[in-house]
Amino acid sequence: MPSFYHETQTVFGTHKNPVLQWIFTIDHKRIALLYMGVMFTLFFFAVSAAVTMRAELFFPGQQFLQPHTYNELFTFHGVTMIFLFIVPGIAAALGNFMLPLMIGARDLSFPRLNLLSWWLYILGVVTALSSLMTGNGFADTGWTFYAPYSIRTDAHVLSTLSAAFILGLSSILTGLNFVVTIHRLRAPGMDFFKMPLFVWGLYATAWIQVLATPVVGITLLLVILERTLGVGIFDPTKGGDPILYEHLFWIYSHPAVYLMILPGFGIISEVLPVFTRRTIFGYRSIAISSASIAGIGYLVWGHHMFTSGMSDLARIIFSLLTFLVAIPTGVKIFDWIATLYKGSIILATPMLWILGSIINFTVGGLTGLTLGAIGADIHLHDTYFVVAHFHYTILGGVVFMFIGGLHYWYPKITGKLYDEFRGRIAFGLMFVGFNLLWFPMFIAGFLGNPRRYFDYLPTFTPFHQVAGVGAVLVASGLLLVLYNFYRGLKEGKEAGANPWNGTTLEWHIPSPPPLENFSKIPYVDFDPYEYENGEPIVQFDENFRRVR
Amino acid sequence: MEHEMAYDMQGKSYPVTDFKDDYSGEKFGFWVFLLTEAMMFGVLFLLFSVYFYRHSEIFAISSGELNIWLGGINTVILLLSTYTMGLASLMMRQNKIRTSAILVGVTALMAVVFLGIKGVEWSIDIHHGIYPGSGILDVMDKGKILFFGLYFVMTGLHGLHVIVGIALMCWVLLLIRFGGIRPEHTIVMKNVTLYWDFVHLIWIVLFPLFYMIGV
Amino acid sequence: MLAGFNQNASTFAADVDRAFWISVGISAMMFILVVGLMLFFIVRYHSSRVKPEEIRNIKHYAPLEIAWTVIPTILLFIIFYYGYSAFRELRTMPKDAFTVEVLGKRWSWTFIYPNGKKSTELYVPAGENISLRLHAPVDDVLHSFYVPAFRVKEDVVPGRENHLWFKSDVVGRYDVECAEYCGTGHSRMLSKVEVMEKTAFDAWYASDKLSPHDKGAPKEEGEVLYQTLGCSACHSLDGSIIVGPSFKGIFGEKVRVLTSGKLRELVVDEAYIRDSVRTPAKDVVEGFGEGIMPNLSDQIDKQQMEAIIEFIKKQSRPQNKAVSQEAVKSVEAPALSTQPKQQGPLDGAALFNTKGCVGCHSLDGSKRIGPSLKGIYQSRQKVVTEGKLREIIADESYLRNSIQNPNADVVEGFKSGLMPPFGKMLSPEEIDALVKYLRSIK
Ligand code: HEA
Ligand code: HEA
Ligand code: HEC
Ligand code: CUA
Ligand SMILES: [Cu+2]
Repeated sequence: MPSFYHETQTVFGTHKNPVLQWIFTIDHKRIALLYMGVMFTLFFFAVSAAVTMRAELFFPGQQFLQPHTYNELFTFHGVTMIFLFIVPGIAAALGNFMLPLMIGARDLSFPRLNLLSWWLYILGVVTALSSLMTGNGFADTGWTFYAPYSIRTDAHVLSTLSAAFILGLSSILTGLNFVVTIHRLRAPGMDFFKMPLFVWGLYATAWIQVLATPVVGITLLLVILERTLGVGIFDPTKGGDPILYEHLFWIYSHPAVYLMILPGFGIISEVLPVFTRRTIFGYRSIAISSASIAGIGYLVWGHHMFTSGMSDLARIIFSLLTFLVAIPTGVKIFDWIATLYKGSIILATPMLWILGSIINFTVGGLTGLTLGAIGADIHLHDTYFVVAHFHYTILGGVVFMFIGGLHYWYPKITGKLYDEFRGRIAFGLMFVGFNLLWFPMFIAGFLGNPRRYFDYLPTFTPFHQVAGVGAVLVASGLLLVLYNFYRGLKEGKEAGANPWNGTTLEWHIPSPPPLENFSKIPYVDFDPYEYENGEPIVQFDENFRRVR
Repeated sequence: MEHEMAYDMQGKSYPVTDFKDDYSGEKFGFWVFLLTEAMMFGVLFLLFSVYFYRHSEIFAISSGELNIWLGGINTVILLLSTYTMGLASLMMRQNKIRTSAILVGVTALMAVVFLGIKGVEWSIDIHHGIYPGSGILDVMDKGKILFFGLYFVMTGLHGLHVIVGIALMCWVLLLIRFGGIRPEHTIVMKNVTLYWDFVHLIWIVLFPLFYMIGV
Repeated sequence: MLAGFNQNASTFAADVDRAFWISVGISAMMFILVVGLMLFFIVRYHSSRVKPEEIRNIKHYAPLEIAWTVIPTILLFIIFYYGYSAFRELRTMPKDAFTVEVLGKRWSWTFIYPNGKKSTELYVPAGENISLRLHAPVDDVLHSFYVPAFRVKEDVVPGRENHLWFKSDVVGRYDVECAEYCGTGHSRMLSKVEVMEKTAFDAWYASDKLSPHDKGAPKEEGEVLYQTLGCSACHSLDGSIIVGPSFKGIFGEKVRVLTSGKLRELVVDEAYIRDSVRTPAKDVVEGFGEGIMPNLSDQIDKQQMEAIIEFIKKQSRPQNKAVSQEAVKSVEAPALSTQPKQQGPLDGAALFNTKGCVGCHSLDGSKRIGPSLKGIYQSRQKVVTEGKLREIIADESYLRNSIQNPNADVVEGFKSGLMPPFGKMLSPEEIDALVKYLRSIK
């Protein structure tokens, strides 16, 4: 059967030219690969910026960067990583590819809208990068664009802001598409509690995208108007209140951190049953906790503003609410650990990444609690402790889960197998390197090293040097991952439809999948992770009639 | 086309929803879209209420400076236009295609008049030097800067939605002309009607906020 | 070590640390539980040890699930409680505190004491409650006052006042850092807090020394201002460029500046310096960014301005004495020479329209934000002066006063504080022209 690599549909019907076939495709799988390609490239730039920062920070004092350049670098790093990489992230790349496969649909509800999202994304990318070449250089505001600095600086903030705005639009459209798809296109028989947990993660994520992104969109637009027309809503010289800006920014950006992690949690829930050869423990509580994390996540934004000068009572309430998020998150973690109990654990590469990400994320999440403890956060706010916290959750958590997911679905996407050995070495490098890189930063932060500091007091030198070494390990591990994927494409063995003995629908169709995924839509009246004696229970015949 | 079916182990059949021509899906999607719009305007309303709370007297004074008559006429026009748009949608389903098209045209025309009046209002203010960033406005009381800042941003954003609405109606007219909208296929028209209802609803909130708190 | 980090330097440092360590302790417990179990299961249930028939597909176990919802909830409340109690202490402002005003601006700190003394480092007596009132100039950006050793931090927000307090019993010098990103100089916006014995503090407080460590005679005013106002954060005296141009030898030299987008050449004279400080955005030295230099006008009075100018002049003295002669001459040129050109008599009507009067005052009798000015001259007005209602005739001096100082006499039915005092914004000539214009409106 020809796969989706061989034939496609575009907005204009059909094309001969392969380039046009790709950039105008309306096939969700191709669009997912388009996202992945661009994200990889950008990701490479952002990592280069990070490594440059680490090199500058290797010794105290000024090495080879101007302070202003350093500020541009971390802004570029933050903006690219957040808005261009991790927010579209798992959802737009793996989610786009897998969602229809997992719920038994032939595409998303609005394939053209999906393509539009990608084009908006590209427009956003181009707008953001254009400020590297034009105006007074890249924005130097940090990824948070706090007013009034973002109103006053003469760096090229306008294009960065517009980029974030456009990317927001793209993200909203993706979310909308996912919500409708999940509501409308589940295969007959599949009710909400028969959906795979990755789909639950995407569902919660999609609602965050739809409900929170417009808030940051309009807020950034107001800053744009402030710079161009002098409207004054956040400018204290005109009576505006900068703290309101902070509120509006975090009303989006806190839920956004769950938007990053929830699909990642979904990946964990997919990989674990497959590599323990047993049913997941607590399906329902994992599903519901995804939704409640998304819900509670809306109420805690103020924990980023404990020192901003908002009222003391508000700070206390936000601190209290912050702790509530940890409860459903903890439930998830315990459910996963319980899934290991009496399974048959196979330490394949995806499983290693997933287990590693659970360890890292636990550290990241627990330090989040320390930050949520308001008295402690007064001291820790805007120090490297925070930076370490979110690299543990995002890099150690989300990115590890992402890479785990990439390994897990690599055979489905490409039809080939990667090399196991290389995969495990790469994981080892990254895991060790990552912890070397970020653990010392907790200590530096606790001792009072503020973030966004181009230079630091000499006291902190050893911490930054260990981190520098870690960064090199991480970067080389990353390169090895990429090399492994590349070699897999060239010389990997044929994977077959179901190399891991998975149970969810995507493993019942050929790898790589054909154009519209399912020749016949199956009837789904079974739970997603059903094993018996380590073998999947459900089987289909070639017409997608269930035979077992 | 015959409806596709999925079969369970007993051979019982269940209808499959496909992504093509999924009427309910398209309608639901549009509701979700309107939700994002509501969130966006919601933020502006929130900002308005915060600043209103802090500068209520000056907001009231500034509000008194707006021309309530022009705003009021605009409110009536928008109200009528949602009515004609709704009627157009209804006529289409009753197979009265021509009447429906005329009604859409009338709606678009009213939208243009709305913009015209809005333009007159704005130009009066701008003529008096009341616009964001003007030297005159910037030396006035902070409350006033904020009031007019919000006024221009919010009515501006609303105006933008009206412009988009006009474009959508022209598109609807084209679709009607070329058979893209038919009595048995009205989803686009339904959604545009919904959109127009929303635009009108926003104005219904904007109007008292800006024009009536000073009365 | 960061200066004084581990000394319990403030009275509440220990409580903050306790909140921190309790949270870390509970977290460590949870971490060991989670990761320990995980590693144990990985070893125990590794596929090499488990036959397929031995796999158990357990889906639920309610008691366990309840336990791992309820127990963490309790632990979380414990963490919250200690965080909260430390916070309450941090935020309960003492009544009887020695209050210092802190001005945070790009990129230096100025501390202003109750007796008007200013310093660039904070000096406080040991064993007393110190309360800080944090300000930033309204056209500046966010900063954050952070003393790691004291475990205190609070943002400095333009346009509002934030508060902070501490009490330290341990004499010593501690680092002050700016913890909210504020641009190029963010990582250099450092200072010190010095906790001193009460007697030493009092001695310094009564003296006119900039810092208790100054030996010898007090510095002259210009230099003190250069330090305390933070000019030194951006302008060096040795020719190197920090953020702004160096002061070395600039006086009497030519500079190229951008004035509303146009490049022109000027000689640095007193008027130019005055302008550079009062309205920094007007002439921006070529190669430097606009809007970086803060407007510190409110901090500088006339006499201080002269001291600063004197100080800047001194940085050029060794090289060229002759030039300053010339500069003295140029002072005689009208001080407002860089204001928009004033050709012929000023046009009151134009001023009325461009300076914002029309925004609030109509000329046709209709009421806007302010009263209509139709036929105002020699009309009877009821005004409130210092809370008392009185009736006056709007004569010339009343009009002039109403422009310069509108809140002195407030017309009945209008609110005080609405009309900005134009005394500072308009020159006397302009006010004269406006009064003349108002007289002509019938
Ligand atoms: C994927 C991203 C991600 C995730 C998932 C999280 C998760 C959490 N974060 Fe984090 N956070 C960020 C990304 C993320 N964060 C970023 C990017 C910033 C900085 C932004 C900036 O300023 O630039 C930030 C900053 C940040 C702050 C502000 C710090 C400051 O600036 O002063 C705070 C404060 O409360 C916080 C708290 C939390 C909490 C409580 C969670 C919780 O959701 C964590 C819950 C998880 C666990 C707790 C672990 C597992 C649970 C158990 C094992 C159960 C039992 C545990 C106990 C009973 C102890 N985060
Ligand atoms: C996605 C989020 C993300 C990621 C992955 C990283 C990765 C890294 N970051 Fe991060 N960082 C941020 C988000 C992120 N960062 C943000 C938001 C800030 C704050 C900015 C601000 O203050 O405004 C910040 C700030 C920040 C600072 C602080 C600057 C300061 O405050 O002065 C430093 C300092 O060293 C740093 C270093 C690094 C390093 C060395 C890495 C490296 O470890 C990177 C190595 C990369 C990997 C290990 C990932 C591998 C991933 C894949 C292989 C995925 C494949 C991709 C596809 C399939 C598309 N970062
Ligand atoms: C935040 C950094 C900063 C601070 C603090 C600062 N300046 Fe400046 N200053 C600048 C910059 C940048 C310029 C050049 C751009 C301009 O002219 O606005 C400048 C220009 C000047 C000039 C013109 C210099 C020339 O070469 O023509 C003078 C005079 C001056 N400043 C005086 C002062 C005084 C006095 C203070 C303290 C009260 C001060 N500045 C504080 C940044 C600063
Ligand atoms: Cu001031 Cu950072
Ligand atoms: Cu948060």
